[in-house]
Amino acid sequence: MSSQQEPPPGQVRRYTAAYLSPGWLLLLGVVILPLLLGLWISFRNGSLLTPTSEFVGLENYRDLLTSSAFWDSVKVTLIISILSLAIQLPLGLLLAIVVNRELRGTRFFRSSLLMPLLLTPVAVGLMWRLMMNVDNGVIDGTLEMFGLPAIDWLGDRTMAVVSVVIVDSWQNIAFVMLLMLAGLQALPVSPLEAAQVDGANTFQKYRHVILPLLAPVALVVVMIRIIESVKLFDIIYILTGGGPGTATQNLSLLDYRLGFTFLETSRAAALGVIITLLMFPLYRLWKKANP
Amino acid sequence: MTHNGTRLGRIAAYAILGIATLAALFPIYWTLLTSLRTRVAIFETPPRLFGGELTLDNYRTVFADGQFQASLIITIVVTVLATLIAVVSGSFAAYAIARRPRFRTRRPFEGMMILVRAMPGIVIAVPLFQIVVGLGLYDQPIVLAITYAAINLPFAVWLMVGFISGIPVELEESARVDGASQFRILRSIILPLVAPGLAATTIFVALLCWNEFLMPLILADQAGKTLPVYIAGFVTSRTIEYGAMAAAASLAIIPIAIVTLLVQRQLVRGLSLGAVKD
Amino acid sequence: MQSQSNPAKRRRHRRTAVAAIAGASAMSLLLGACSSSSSAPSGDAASGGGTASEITAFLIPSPTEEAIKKSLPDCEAKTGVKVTIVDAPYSDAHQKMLLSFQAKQGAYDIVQYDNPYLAPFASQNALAELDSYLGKSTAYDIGDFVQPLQDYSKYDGVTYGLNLSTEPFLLWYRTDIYDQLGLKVPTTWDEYLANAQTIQESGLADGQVIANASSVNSWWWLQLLWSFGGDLQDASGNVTLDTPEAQKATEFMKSLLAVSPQSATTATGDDATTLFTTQDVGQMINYSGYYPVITDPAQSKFVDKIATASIPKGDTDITQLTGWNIGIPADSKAKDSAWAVLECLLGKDNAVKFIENGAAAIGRTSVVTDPDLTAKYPYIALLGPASETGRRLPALVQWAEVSNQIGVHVQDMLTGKTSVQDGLSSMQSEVSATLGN
Repeated sequence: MSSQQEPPPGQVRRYTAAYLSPGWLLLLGVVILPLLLGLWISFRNGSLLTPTSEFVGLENYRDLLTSSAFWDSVKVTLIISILSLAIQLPLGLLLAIVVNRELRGTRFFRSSLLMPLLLTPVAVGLMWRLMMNVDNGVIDGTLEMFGLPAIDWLGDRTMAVVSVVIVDSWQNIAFVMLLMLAGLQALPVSPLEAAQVDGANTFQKYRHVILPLLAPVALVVVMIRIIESVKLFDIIYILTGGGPGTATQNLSLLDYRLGFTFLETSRAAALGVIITLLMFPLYRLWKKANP
Repeated sequence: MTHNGTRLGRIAAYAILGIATLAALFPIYWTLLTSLRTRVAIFETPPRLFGGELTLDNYRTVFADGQFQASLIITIVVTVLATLIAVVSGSFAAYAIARRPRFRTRRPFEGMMILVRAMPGIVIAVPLFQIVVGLGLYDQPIVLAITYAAINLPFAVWLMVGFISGIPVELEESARVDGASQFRILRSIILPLVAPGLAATTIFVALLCWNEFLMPLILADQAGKTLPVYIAGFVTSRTIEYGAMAAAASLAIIPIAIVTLLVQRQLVRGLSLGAVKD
Repeated sequence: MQSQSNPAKRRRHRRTAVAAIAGASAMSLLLGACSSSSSAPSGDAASGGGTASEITAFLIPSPTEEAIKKSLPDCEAKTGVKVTIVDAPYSDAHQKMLLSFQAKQGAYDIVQYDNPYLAPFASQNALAELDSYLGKSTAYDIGDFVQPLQDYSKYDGVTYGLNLSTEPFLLWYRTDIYDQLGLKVPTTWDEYLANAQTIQESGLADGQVIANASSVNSWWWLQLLWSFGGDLQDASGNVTLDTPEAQKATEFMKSLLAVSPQSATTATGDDATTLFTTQDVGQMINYSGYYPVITDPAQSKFVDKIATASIPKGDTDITQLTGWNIGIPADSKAKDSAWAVLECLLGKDNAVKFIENGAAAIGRTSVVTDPDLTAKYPYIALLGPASETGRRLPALVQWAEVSNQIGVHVQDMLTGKTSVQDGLSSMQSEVSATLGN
């Protein structure tokens, strides 16, 4: 692309600026201004519980970084991210490979697999909360029908984390599948044909040719899913409320607690700034995925 | 490319598809069934996987006070507007990024993109509320549309950059040599080639807008009460009205499902042309 | 954590100052109330007054909201004020109200709020004081409430809301199971636990259910703490959670959990009600406000087999008193119109209709002693005695955070993540830090 013939520089600069301006305007009004305001709030001791506030410097940050609630939620966030990647990446790939075979009926299967993406997250959380109830939920009811022991999906600390990951995966695996599917369909044909000629079986073909070629797509998926699991909020909030105890309280939920439940605006803003800073390493990943 | 799988492979593939489809559809089915049951039946133990006494009462409840219809219209309007704004401004930004690898504000712009994409909405919710109220714009659907558009802009830009980079730059250059204006190049060369990608982007952005919850919750009351907020209202302070909630959620799926299923082929084709191309 | 002590102290100082002034003005208002009795107050109310032909009410989805919607047309006709209703789910409602109060744009003229938010609302002068209206209103007749219920809507002696419901804890039990096992209605917590164990062992049903979810269990735990003679703070405001009483309350809650349905571990008050009304559970401690749900045949399988009684006693006979408040924001530009609507909705004459429209009852003396009403809704008769021994949740500005701290620790102790000893001592230090001592 660098070899392209450059149009006159003045014109280029003008259209570059013009094309970016709607985007900048949106970002300025909706994101940058509130973020700056948030930054300012985070250095004060403002709260919805008192009408006045004053400058307190880095106190909110210090309190947060020395609180166990913060580090617990970092841990929860990491665990949820890793678990959901571990489930969604291989399963999404598997589904993409299968759908990509274009077997008879694929249209139906593909449409069905997309459905979970469409249900509004509030309803997703409520429905799974209903289904995962250990006393009257349909999942344990069915398990018991087959003589299997009921699982305390939401009441057990470990299972609660697993449940959050299951529900998040249920909703979002279709997205991973779509990206992987697109990746498969965009693969160059020649290496595959070469492998075919060499008499590679299906497994070998995937192991040595297709998977390495899919690596860039996988990187995109990894990045998106990390971001989404840090942002994950609606589902956890409704499914477990962060409980039992604080077993499923991730960073987003902690921020919601501080700002919306405890009404401590400044502390919530400080945590928001911290979360945003924690996300910056992803910038490198983004550059790597979009060279 | 692998149309010629073995018999065993085909059976395995169908087994995987079958199980996955069952897992994907069961909760949707359960939502539908819940919407047709009385509360007592919803909590029956052991649960009945199908049948039982069915009723349309929950749907009557949903349609009774007109709020569902109002919310449906608001959600459609806000989603269409927001998607339009996000996709149009995202496409222009994407064109600039794809065609001009080096410009002065590229790094900050991309930095903002990743920031907006990665930042939980809660981070800007309260300050945004204060700004919106300060400007007297509280509870205005247009404010919701602009907010959704900004939040989903990075996603649109990211997808569109991929699509536009996929179009050989030589096409544009030869047109330019022929004396075509920038506008004409965009309209008659880029636009047709990028159409499948544009469709995919539109759907994904529309889906995110359709289900956005936090922003309408914070920035609106009545005029901007979108479906997700309306559905959350069934969590009352004395009971969760699962039946009516499920009815509203089932109805809310329909419009977005129709659109998605209509263009699902474009979705995959679009993505494979752009987003995942390295 | 040291850092938090300063704002908290500031708050307390201001609160004392406000209390002094407010107490004085409340005194004079009460005196005034005895002498004057003209009905509709004019725009000269101390709170600023103001009228408008259209006002906005911010409500919270609940049976009470539905009842208000049903009663509104009559009141709109009567007062000539058109009311627009907006609402938001409980979890976000109070935050939205506070945001609007601090924006001071007069967005809402009437707000429905939960009683624990009275303190944070009133302490920043976000609500209009209503004593001047109450003093003049015969239609509302504040004298129809016993003193604890009049105090229910006061902060530092000033009234900032009306009682929109009166919801003490009640004992709910299954008459068929009690009969079958020959159980008596328990009057002490020990008897309650013994009943639960008997029911559980019989295999007929689970013994009992209460809410244990960390978001709300502090409310049930505080009831037990009060019953066993403890309290959140002592007279001088020191936090007293690491005490033998707290230990007893927690151990008792643990023994209750052992005879509960399995999902009770994460049950909220709503979940507890669902369990009690849709599967076999012998007893439940829950708020009277659930009555409309529990007796609705569409929602409850055992409508005819459920009875209520006052909650068991422990070392004290305190009953926790909860219930909605409804008030007028200080930034409202139409306070007089808002009052006129409230007076009509919640006035003495509308009280019975309000209940029949599905709301949880408001504990007016004329209501709880009405023989027809108490025959039809037996739980209403229990509101009287419960109000006499009623105690509301602590009036703390930081209640939401304290409640969450208690809730998380209680759940950790219940599920065995921490020992009772460790849990209480860390609860003590966290709550102390939040309250600034």
